[in-house]
Amino acid sequence: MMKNIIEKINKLAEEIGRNINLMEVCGTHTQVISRYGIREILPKNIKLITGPGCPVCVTAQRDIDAIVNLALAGVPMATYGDALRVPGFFGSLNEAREKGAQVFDVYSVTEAVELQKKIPDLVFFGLGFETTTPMTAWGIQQGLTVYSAHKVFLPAMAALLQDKNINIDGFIDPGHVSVVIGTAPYDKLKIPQVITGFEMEDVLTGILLLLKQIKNKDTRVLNQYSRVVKESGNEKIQKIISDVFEIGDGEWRGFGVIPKSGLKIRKKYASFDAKVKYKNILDKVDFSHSKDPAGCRCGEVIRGLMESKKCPLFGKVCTPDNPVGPCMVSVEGACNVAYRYSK
Amino acid sequence: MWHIDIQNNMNKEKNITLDMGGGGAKSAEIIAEIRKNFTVKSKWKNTGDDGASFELPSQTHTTPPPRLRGTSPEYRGGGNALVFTTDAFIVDPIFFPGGDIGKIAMCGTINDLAMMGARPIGIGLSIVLEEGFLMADLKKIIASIGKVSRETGVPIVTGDTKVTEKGKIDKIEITTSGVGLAQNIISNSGMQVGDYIITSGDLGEHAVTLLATRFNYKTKIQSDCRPLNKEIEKVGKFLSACKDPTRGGLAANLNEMVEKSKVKVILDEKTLPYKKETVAVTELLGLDIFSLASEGRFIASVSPENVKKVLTILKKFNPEVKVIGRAERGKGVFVKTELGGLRRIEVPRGKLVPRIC
Amino acid sequence: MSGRMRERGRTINRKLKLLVMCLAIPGKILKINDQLATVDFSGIQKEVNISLLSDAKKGEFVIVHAGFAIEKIEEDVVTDIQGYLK
Repeated sequence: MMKNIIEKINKLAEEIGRNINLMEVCGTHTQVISRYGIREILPKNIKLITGPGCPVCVTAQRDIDAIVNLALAGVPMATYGDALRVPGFFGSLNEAREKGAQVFDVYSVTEAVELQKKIPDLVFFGLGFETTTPMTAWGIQQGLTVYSAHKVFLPAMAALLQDKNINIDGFIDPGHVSVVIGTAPYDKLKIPQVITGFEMEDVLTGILLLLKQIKNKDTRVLNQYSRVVKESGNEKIQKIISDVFEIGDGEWRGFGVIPKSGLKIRKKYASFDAKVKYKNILDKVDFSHSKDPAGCRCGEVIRGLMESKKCPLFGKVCTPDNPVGPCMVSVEGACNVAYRYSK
Repeated sequence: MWHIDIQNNMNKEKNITLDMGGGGAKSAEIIAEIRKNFTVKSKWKNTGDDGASFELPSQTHTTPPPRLRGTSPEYRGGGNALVFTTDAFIVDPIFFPGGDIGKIAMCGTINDLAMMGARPIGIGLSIVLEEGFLMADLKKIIASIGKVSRETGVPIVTGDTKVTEKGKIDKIEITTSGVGLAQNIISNSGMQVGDYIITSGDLGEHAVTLLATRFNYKTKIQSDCRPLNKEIEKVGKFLSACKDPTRGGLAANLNEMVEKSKVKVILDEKTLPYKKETVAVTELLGLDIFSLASEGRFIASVSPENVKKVLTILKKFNPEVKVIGRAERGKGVFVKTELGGLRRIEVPRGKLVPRIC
Repeated sequence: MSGRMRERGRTINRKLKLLVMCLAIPGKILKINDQLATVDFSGIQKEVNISLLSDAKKGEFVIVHAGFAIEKIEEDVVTDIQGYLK
């Protein structure tokens, strides 16, 4: 079956002839592609670029600096594993813990809700796209206080298409974001797209479907992950998200501010919004240093403008053990994946 | 490479961190740093295997026995070698499906001796208890220790018990030291090009059990903790290298063997020694499956002429025994993927599952 | 090494997946207790929050992410893919 798909990919690539750039925008796809060695078997004119699919990586330095300052000021913080290691200007959450801050690594918002029963002042750092937003929304409905760095994913895809430094011929859409939003929102991008699952066969079929569209000059959103992704998405989740969050500006590492891409907690839940509750601490933070560390090229890597290996810090100064930027911290980050799978 | 890391990293660290006890690269660094201080010379040989060995003067042999492949030439003298090892156990939780801290303390040391080809002849047992520890729990742990001693025939010949004030340690800590005699030492640096790499059973189940207990998962999987001396008694002489993948799992331990033996090992993705439950736990928790610890399994290399014999013998102990790969020229440990590419298995770094043994 | 996981009529080859903190994985609902379900993942059972699903029944397969079921897995959904691949 796989051989058949690979043969068809080779044939289409030859028929298309020119160089093609396909971008994947999902941290899980980033891993799966490297882990299965998919790039190595693709024809030479088909390039698979990693985009901003890693939720930890695209979190703005400003948000990291904000939560580290909250932690250092004595506010107990809980969040998902990788986020603890991202080095901000004031250090990482892990470093704050070593200095005595209360910092908790949780696998699920339900753990944070449980923890809050013992630690009433607990703040959960919510980051990620539509896949992790619903859990945070549920948490807020249970009374959890949250610092939201959550984002809406599509505006970033539109921003990538506007970027004149890169030419994208097709997207492998994020699988689990699509579970939530469905297939319709992607239509407006007007570019070949495919939503695929995470097995090797899924991804290869997805690439085949993109190449077919490119050859036929078609611009559709084909759903290869239909066993899980419904056309209308998960409407219950969409309702929960819009009950708790409203759309505002979102700040992304690499992109800067993308309008209508951020999720802020609605006024009715203001008492659970850490940005409101701890405004006094946050207002005193000097965010003028909140940019990528010196020499760090994560911003370009995230936008697909630079391959991880081409970054001068990659593998030398910046390694998974001593990461300079989040792309090397997160197991879904382009640089971390590239490092782990390099021979 | 590691020397540079030691100089740079250890000088920067001010405090002990969890990943220094994980069995991965940082553990190796701190161990090397500690060893730098111990400069008294002796006839003990510690080549970084599971224990240290001491050649006893020969009494009866007049001609040296032929050297078995993969053994160190120093022991051709014909005498037995004395092997000595020690280990501390801080596993949390102290009781888990398939065992407890007592069982693991005994099996850990017996296995370290077995992994060097030594027949265990005595264990020293040291227990430190926290004030308030339940007597009933201590009785259960002692019973487990006694059970392993009886089943393996290895006596506990000396020991010590201490109690410290509440809060000074976490419940209980056990240290076991073990002495064994070996005709021929099995090192973990004896892998040869062409050798088959085998595992004595599926890996990682001790880690899975502890993780399931900590994260409230229900599963039939139990700890794989058990003594290996009987298996080694039967097949030890056919193994060119042998190690039990405890802390750091296959990733740390196979990499160590491969680096010391100066070979390259390629594992086949289709025959990786992990059950579906083990895979599921790594997916649920985002862990590297290759770093999961076992406490009753070994990885070994066997020459092509001996592999069939070894597999037949070991199958009687565990039907899961299998060949997982082969050694060839080069360096590193790799997995061959379905698409034909090679994926490297690195020595684990960072915080591995804490307090697994 | 591969474990086979049946997704309601469709067999998925569960090859060695890897260390993704947020990988969503499929599991089978064994029992439902209000907003919590006991879900089986290849022999590992854990509690999963199902409040993000509009309906869920014992025996159904779900995709679970960070402790929550985010969608059910439906067998044999017909899409335009098959035609497009010809």
